[in-house]
Amino acid sequence: MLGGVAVAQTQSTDSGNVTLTATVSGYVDIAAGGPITLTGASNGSITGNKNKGEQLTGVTINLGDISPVNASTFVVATVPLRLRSNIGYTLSITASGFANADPMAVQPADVGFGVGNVLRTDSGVNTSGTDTPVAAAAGNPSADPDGDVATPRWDYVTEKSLAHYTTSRSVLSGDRIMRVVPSSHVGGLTLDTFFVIKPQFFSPGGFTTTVTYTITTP
Amino acid sequence: MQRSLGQSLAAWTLLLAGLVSTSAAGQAGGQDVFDIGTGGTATITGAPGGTVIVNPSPLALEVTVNFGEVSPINPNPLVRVSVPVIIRSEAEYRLVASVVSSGMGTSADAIQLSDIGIGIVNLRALSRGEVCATPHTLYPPFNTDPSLSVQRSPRASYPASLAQLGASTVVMSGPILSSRNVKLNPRNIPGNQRENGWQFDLIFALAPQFFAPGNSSATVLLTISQGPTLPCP
Repeated sequence: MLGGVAVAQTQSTDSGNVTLTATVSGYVDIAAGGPITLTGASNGSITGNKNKGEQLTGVTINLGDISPVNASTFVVATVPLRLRSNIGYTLSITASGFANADPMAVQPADVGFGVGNVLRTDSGVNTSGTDTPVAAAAGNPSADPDGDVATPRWDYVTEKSLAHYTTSRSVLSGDRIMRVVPSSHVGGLTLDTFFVIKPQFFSPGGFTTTVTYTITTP
Repeated sequence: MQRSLGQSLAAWTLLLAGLVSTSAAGQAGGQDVFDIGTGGTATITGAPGGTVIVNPSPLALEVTVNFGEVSPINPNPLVRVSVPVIIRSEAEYRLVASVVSSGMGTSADAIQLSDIGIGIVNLRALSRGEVCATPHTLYPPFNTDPSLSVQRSPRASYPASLAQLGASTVVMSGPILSSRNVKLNPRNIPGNQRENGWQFDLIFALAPQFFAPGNSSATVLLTISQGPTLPCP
């Protein structure tokens, strides 16, 4: 016992420790890649347009008059997106609420859709990663020929019309997007999505559909 | 066990001799006491789900920090942890810091030791601490609050990080910390010795970023011991 007391009186050094732990979960996000543009429209408009990095909600695109009153070959809405992730990702879309009982009215198959201009050129982006659009959905459908020349109505290939996306379908996937940067970083993977209508002799009326973009980890 | 009276006396004599020897050395300065312990409640900010747990015993500095989620799921620009530390000494001291264990991801995009900033700030004497004309020295780059000097280029970096503690690194030194009129009892700190030293805040900072997913850990060891000769006029 006395020996123990003697040792306790001697402390020529002392130590303490701090143990640090942290967790990083898989993360993905999607935002506007810049303002939406609309070409070829007659009395078309965009409300609630967004700048790059802003949350892509509350935006309405009015494609205008798509009867033959509109002399344009196509009405094209280009919706830029910005994607970010610290892990591989998949981008899917779905179009909901499209309901026109008259087959001569505008139908989901009359709205062309496509994905293009997928770029990893922003600062802070993992440039060694690769991205793979679903091949049949790649490109601006206004540049495509009529998908079925046997019918007088203008057709898009199956994967390039909204009729294909009444249920959620993948359109793009790829590797980790971002390098190690703070979440405040504005850059990311950018791409364009295209919505196209060729003015035709549709039955008078209109249509409304909501397109939802979803980015997920595979 | 049976032993003769002569054997028992011999054993007691040895123990007493040892006690006298140690005590005498301590009073002469050869076995000066150095002590490091907790200074009270630690804080963590910017960390939803993060925690900091401090062993409440004044005899020990044992702190466990959980930064929580540091992917962009955490919307805060920075997670900051402040750990109050008390140091006491009967002589000149130096404080050495090192990373004694770490479990970081192998990917360069995972959290690295360089992603965790460290600094020592708010060094101040406690009410019974010895205040000498000789200043204490906080060695750069460990003398700044990493949360106030974070650089984003674009990955966040700090003037000092855990990566600079790979080898034992002197981060601080100075003259005697505790009143020269009081003998320290390192393993039994009574109330009147609680304030007999100096205190500082040990700061850690980690910016949520697009790190590769995974868990990371590191342990920082702080050791106080005899430092370079510094008179206390």
